[in-house]
Formats: sequence, structure tokens, C-alpha cells
Amino acid sequence: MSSPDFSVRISGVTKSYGNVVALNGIDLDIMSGQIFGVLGPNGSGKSTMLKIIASVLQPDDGSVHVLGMDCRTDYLKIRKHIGFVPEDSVIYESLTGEEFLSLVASVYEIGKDEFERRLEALSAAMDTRGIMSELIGNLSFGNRQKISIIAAMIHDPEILILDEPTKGLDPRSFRIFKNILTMLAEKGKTIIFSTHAMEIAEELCQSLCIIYKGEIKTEGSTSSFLKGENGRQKLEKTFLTITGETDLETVADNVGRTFQ
Amino acid sequence: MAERIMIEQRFTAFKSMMSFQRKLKGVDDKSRFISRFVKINYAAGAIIFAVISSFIVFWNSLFLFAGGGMSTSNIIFILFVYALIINLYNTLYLMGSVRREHLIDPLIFSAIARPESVLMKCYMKYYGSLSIFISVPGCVILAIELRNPLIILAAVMWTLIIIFMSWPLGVIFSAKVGGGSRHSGTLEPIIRILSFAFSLAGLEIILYSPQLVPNMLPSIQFPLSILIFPFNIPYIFDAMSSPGIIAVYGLIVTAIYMVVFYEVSVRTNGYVGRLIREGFMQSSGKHGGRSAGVEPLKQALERKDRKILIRDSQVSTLIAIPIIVAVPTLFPVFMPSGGISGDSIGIYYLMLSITAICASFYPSILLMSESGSIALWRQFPLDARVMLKAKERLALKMFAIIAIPLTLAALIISGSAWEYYVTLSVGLISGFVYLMVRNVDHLFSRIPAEASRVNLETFGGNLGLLLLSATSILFLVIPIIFGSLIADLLPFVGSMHLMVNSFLDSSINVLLMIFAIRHYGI
Repeated sequence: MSSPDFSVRISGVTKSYGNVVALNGIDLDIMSGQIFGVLGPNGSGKSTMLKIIASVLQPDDGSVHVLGMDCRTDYLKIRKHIGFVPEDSVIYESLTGEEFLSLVASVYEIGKDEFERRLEALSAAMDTRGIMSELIGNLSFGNRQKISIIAAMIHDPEILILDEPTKGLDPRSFRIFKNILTMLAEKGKTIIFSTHAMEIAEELCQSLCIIYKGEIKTEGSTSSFLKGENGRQKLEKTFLTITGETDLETVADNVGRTFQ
Repeated sequence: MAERIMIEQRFTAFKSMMSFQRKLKGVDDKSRFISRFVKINYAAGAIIFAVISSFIVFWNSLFLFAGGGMSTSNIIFILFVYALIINLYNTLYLMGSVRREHLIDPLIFSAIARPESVLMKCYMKYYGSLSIFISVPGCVILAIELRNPLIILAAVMWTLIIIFMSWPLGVIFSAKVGGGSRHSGTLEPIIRILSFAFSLAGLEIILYSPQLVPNMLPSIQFPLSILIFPFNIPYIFDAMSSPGIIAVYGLIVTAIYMVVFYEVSVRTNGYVGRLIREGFMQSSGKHGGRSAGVEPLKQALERKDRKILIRDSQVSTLIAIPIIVAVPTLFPVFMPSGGISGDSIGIYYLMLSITAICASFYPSILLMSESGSIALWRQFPLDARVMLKAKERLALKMFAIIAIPLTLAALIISGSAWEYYVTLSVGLISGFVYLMVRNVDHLFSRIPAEASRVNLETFGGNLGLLLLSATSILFLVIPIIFGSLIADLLPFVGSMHLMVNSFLDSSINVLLMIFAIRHYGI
């Protein structure tokens, strides 16, 4: 049974797609009420891990407990307490933003007044009021992403899981989004998100992990990665050391010579 | 590049299947591995069409040689109209999947000068060419029966005409009716779809009653009779039956039409190109209406499906097919020959059975319309079957909208024979519910747990649906045969044979429906 201090407890989780091992014996605990960052290069297993936490995917082996519930048996209950924005978010293109969100409200059994209040607040914050009656298929990538983010937040979930959430957001929405995440964490919600941007991870996350080739190579509080004079460089250096990409200049030189 | 479109179409459906990924892992040439599916699907389609074509010819030959008012040209006409309908459907499907899966997008940004021509090649090579297997085997049989090889030559040329003609027609339907854009209003797409439905219904009427065409145009004399397209088909093929100068004229006219339609078909590429460049694959920029607010879950899911159905015209077009099939249902009832005979009841039953079989795939079409949104099902705290049941309820309502007015009209016109229609309708509606629940459950079980997308290929492509349709037909036919056998065995039935048969058949269907509802739920 999980400790109530932890929103998520992952133990010995493996997941394969055919012969490709996406996660290889992962152990991870994520404290409640914090913003947790998942860093890693493309194809490292970040999205798979987030999908398993969101109970969208089942692990092959190991156990995952979310809010004390087992993701194998209680996945429908877990999903009620989770808001999830996947990396390749696909939503109904033939519905308007408002129609899609009211469908989400029906699924999560949100009352009409409560839904309208939350929708108004989130639409104002994300600057989507003008696009709510547009068909989602007509929206730009960034605006679709905003609708996905609102859909993930509209039922006031305990845990918000976001896979590359800032992709496509304009600077204003990006800034407001960061503020919303901070505010939600202060209210005791757990935020788990993946990103490639070191500066976002540094600025927002209390804790983070670096995942590479399906294994968690390092984890800890963000401050522990930032100790020293050049904190940010240290995090980036740690990342590059783990992912084996230390000699970037040589790589760039090779490409440069190819295109002379 | 045409093959690439087909490969991509299948890959988007298969890629999330674990079994497929496992097989793919051990293969060196992955692209060739997937292209094998394309070839298998094509070969299977060709065999099935050849069998259907031969069946149509054999079946109608019985009437032909028994003096049932059919002529060789009628049978050939049926084959060509069938080929035309299949080609139109295939064009709509191809254009729909290209739009939905963004299959042409990589070509738009590539250095290929005319990416639009790839779509035409894809249609001609993988869809249109299948028409050969619809018309030619049947015509070969007729040529052997009538000892006239000219029929084969004419059949090949007319098949090419049908192939060339279907591409521009299908593209225009796809853009104007099938909706290159996603319209959010309700009236405009409905009017467009209805006009499309009635155009095809006209063809259907011809299909089910091919004698109509020559009978309706008796005053057309030579040479107009072999010039007016497409009504010249019977005249030309009649001319083939007795080789002479008119047969030569017929072949020349056919050759001219073939060249004309080839030219039209090629010129359609310019239109396809404009569609692509003007954002055919994107959107219309129209607004949707206001949301109805937060509704109870069942209504909300049904409303969502209804909106997708109305706005995604590709889905609406597929949904309209049973309506098209249903229209000729009333034909025997309205026939001036009058009176309710076993024949007219039989045709009513046959047509409504076809409608029931087609409509039993409504939930499956709605399931396919989920496309990439199927991934969303796993994010919601709902059993996926809750979503599926919403589709079944909507399908039931849509079938009722088609079947009830038809049955009522048949009842009003039928007068004293109403009890036959009531019994048959109850049986058919029960049969529909049974087939619908069974078919969608079968198809749903084929969606991999981790699917990120569903399309026709997820369910085995056209071949998979054809096989499922075949088993559906069996499920409707077996109770009829059973009812007929029992009615034959009962000594006291006499003139009540048809009624007893209908009653037994309907009772079996009702029992199957009760079983389906208890077993699968609705």
C-alpha cells in the first residue's frame, strides 16, 4: 500500500512494444503537491512512463500505484483523478472546442454551473474565448494544445500529467500556463510533465528525473542539480553526460564539412 | 508513389498492433512486408468480385433463358451499374482516408511536380482495376453461352469507361458532397448528401429493375439509341448479339466514349490539385453552433456521434448507403402491375434485408469515424463499451428512421396484405438489432488495446467487411430457409405457406435479438 505522501509509486516497471524495450525496470516515487519534471532525449521512454502513470497503458511487469490505487485493477478510478495531455494529443476535429469540453464535463460528471465557471476562468487565462465556437479541426496546433490543456484541467484533477505541454504555446500563454501550474502545485495538486527545455524544468520543477533508454539514470530535487556557480550548465551537462552527447561541437563540424 | 499511399493507409491502422509489430521486427524489408497486405487484399477483392459477377450472371441467366423478360443487355447493364457503384464508393473511401490520415501531405511538401496525379494512379491501380473482375468474368460467361466473343471486347472497353468515369464523379462527390471540408452547419451537408443519395438511388432503381431503361426510352431510334450515354449500353450489347454494321458502330462509339472519359479523368487531376493546394485536407473555417451545455453521459456521447456524423460528410456518405439501398424497396409496391404478390413481398423483404445488413454496420462506421480520437477513449474514466453502446443506440434510431416510413408506406399501399409486412418488419428489425450488436462487437474486439487510430484496415479492409457482410447475409437467410422448410413440412399450411414462413422466420430473428441483447447488451 502506498504512503499518502506519494501521489505516484512506481516499482520495477517494464514495458515493451514488440521487441523494443521502452521501460526497463523503473522505480520512482513522486511526492504529492509538487511539480515533477521528466527529462530525456527522444525515444527514451518518457511518454510511455507518463501514459502508464495516467493509466492509459498497462505495464508488462512491476507495479504502479497512483493515489494509493493499483493501476492494473483501479485504472478507471485513477483516470477520474487525473488530467492528461499526451504528446500527440488527438481530439475530435468535428466538434467545436466548447462542445468537446462539455463532452469532457459530461464524462467527469461536472455540474453545469461549475463547468461554466471553470471554462470561463480557463478560457480567459489561455486566451481561447474567441476560438471556442470554432471546429477543432480548423484550429492551429497551438490552439488545439490549449483546448487539450483545458480539457485536462476542467475536472480539477488531483494529478496533472503533461507530455511536452508547452509545444506550440505562444509566449503569453506559456507564461500564464507556468503560473497556473505553480498555483495548482501550491494548492496541493501534483504536476508531472516532460520537457526537452532545461530552463523550464529548472524554473518550475521541485524534483526531476532524467530517463535514458528506458531507465531512470538520475533523480532528485532540482536544487541538487543546480548547485554551484553555473547551475543551469550543470543540469545540461548532467543531461548530456548521461545521454552520451558530450562532443556536440565535433558532430556539428562534421555536418558543416559535409555541406561545404 | 501510388503504392506508398496504399502502404501508408494500412500502416496507420496496423502500427499499434502488438502482433504486427512483432512480425515486423523480424523482417528486413519492412515496406515490402506491408505491401504484401496490399497485394493480398487486392487478390482477395478480385476473387470475391469475380464470384459475385458470375453469380449475378448465373442468377439472371435463369430468367433470361426461362423467358422472364430479361435480356443479355439487362444483365450486362446490372454488372456495369454495380461496377460504377463500387467504384464511386472506393473513390469516396480513398479520398476520405487520404484526407483523414493526411496521406498526401508529405507529397505536397516534396519536390514532386504534380502530387495530385499520384492519387489518380492509386485509384486506377488499386481500386478501379478491380472493376475488370466485376464485369469481365460475367461477360465471358455470357459470351460463351451466346457464342459471341465480341461481348468480351465490348465489356473490357465499357469497364474502362466506368473506371475513367468514376474517378471524376467520385472526386466531385468527395469534395462537394463528401466534404473536403468539415462543415459545422446541418442543412447544407444534408441537402448535398440527399442529392447524392437520390442520384445513386436512380442508379439503384436501374440496378434492381434493368428492364426499365429500354422500356422507358422506347422511342429512341438508331442512331441516337447507340449514342446517348449511358442508356446506350443495352442497345450496344444487343447489337453485339447479332454482329453486323450496327455492332461496328457500337464499338466505335464505345471507343470514342472511352477516349473522352479518359481525357476527363486525367483533367480531373487539375481539380484534385486545386483541392489539395486550397486546403482540401485542412478545413473550411466555418464556425460551429453553441454547445448544449453539460448533459448526462449517455446523451452527451450520442450527441457527439451525431455531430460528427453530420459534420464529417465522409461518414455521412457511408451512412447514406442503406438509404440508397432502401429507396428501391418501395419500387415493387408502387409497380403498376399492382396487387401484392409473393414476388413483391419477396423483393420488399430482400431490399429491406440489404438495408438492415448495411445499417448493421452503422456503429462500425461511427467507430471508424473516431479515427485518432480512439486514443482518447483510454484517457476517459469510462469502460470503452459505454462509448460503443452510445453508437449502437444512435444506429438503432437511424435504422428506425429509414425502416419505419418505408414499412408504413408499404402497409398503407398494401391494403389487405398488411399482416405480411408487419410480420416481416418485426423479423427484420429484430434481425437488424442482432446483426448490429454482433458485428460491432466482433469488430470492436479487433481493435488493439493500444491502438492510436482506427480505420477500415483495422477491421481487415474491404475484404474483412465483405466477409462479415457475407456471414450477416447467412444469418438472415438461414431463418428464411428454416421457416420455409418447416412450412413445407406442415401438411395443414396450404395457402398460408407465405404467412407461416414469415412468422417462423421472424420468430427466429426475435429470439436471436433477445439472445444478442442479453449476451452483448445494448
